[in-house]
Amino acid sequence: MPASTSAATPTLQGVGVGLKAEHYGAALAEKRRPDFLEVHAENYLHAGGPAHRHLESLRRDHALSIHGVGLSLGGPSPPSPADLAARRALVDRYQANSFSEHLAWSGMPQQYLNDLLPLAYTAESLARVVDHIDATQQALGRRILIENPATYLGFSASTFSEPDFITEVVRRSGCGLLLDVNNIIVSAINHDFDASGYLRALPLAATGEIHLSGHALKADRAGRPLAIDTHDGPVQEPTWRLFDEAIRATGPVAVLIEWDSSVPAWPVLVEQSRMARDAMTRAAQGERLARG
Amino acid sequence: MRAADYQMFAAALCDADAPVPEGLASPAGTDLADRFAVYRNNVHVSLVESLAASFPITRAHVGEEFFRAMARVHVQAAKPSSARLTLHGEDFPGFISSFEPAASLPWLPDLARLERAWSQSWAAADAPALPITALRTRRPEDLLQVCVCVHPAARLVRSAWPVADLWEAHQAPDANLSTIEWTAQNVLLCRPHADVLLRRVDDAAAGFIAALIAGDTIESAASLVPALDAGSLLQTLFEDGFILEIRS
Repeated sequence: MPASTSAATPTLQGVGVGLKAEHYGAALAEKRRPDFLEVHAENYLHAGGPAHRHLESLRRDHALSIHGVGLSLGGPSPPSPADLAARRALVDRYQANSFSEHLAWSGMPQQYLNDLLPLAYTAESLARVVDHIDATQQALGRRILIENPATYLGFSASTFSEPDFITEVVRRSGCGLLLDVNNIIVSAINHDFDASGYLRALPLAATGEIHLSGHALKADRAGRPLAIDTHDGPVQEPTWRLFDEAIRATGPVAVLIEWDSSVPAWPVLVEQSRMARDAMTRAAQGERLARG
Repeated sequence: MRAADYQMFAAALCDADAPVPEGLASPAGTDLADRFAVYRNNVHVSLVESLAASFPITRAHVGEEFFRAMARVHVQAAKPSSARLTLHGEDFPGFISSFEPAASLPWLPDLARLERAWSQSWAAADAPALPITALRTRRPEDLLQVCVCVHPAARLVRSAWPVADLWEAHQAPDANLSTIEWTAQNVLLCRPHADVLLRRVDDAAAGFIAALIAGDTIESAASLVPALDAGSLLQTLFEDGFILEIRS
């Protein structure tokens, strides 16, 4: 059953930046503020100290999205009550405007593998993921967003395509979609499918946020292209092109520049944000022209 | 996807020599093993990276290459129990003490223990420390009978090695270790204001502080260290925000 959205906090909008500890000072000093900041839940699950103090200062002037990377909603067992309570406490502490997680799993109970691992898209997986999302939405008292994954391989047991599986997850749990455009590009390269077709098959009306990031392009031992979801560079051209398409289909939604390793100076992120905002403006103008 | 499928996938990620699990697929003409290796690599590289972030001083001391090789052996053997990686590495100092290639640096486990304590202090709950003025209402003789509740961010690290000097020297790149005197050092970590504060304390003071942490009265803690000026040490402890409250 869909959980109700939190009434008190406005939804996320505009163009945001993923906040890393390196940027606390620059983000505080910046006059042109991003429309929102996004942090990883797991970096703030500890009780107190400097990281919380910085985030509290920033929260005064910024909307905030909390993005989980370790709840393992695709995992073999439900998130523990303690894990859920910790996320609830974090979301409440910062009055977060949004909470999102991944369609992935991260290890076994008591064995955290710190990666977003792929799922077989079967009826059994679907029921389990929906249960885990339900439990999370109940515990958090709000609708959450679920991100489409970047994957390197699939399962022969899968009976759903990924977009169909995501469509069912959204329909049954009432969660929203965190549309990661770079993940589509990465998966399209790795699984040799058409990125636009995949995009159009997603439940785009449920999109609550879009992620933009960079990937690395390699080749496997067979010489076939292998894209790795590295988040360590600027958004690449194919991702920008698919973003143009995505934003026309979703209408204005919150967009995040996500850069998690080899983190650049703050102005580089501001520049990436400007490019995203320009694309959104072009899309909106295109809409107006089309409507005549 | 069944419980056994998860188990098989996870087990194969953890074992570099394991074959690719059954039931995985990638497009015709691609190398499935290479694709599975991306996940295996992500697991180990990201966990090594997380230890590198949690132990920057240990890393600076032994160098990037040695640290990563050492961390990789640890990560291979012991995965974290939860996603709370800001406190990853609880058992890393213990691992280092049994890591043969590091045996020529017998202080390394203590340096890692200090970093671990620093992380705990950094992450601990915020709480206003008790100001020394709170003692004004008490008669000095009554004060001897009180115990103290220690601030959540307070940690004591006792070492037979100059861990504080090493820690400080490595705050700058290209640390100069030539002036370090290789004597024992104890460190008290507190968070009186925003940031973690590191203070060297001698053996007598460390004994007194350890007794306070263990819940002894001030009198009993002071009796352990007759040579100590407990009054001035207490004043320092108050200034450092070591004391959360006092209990009669």
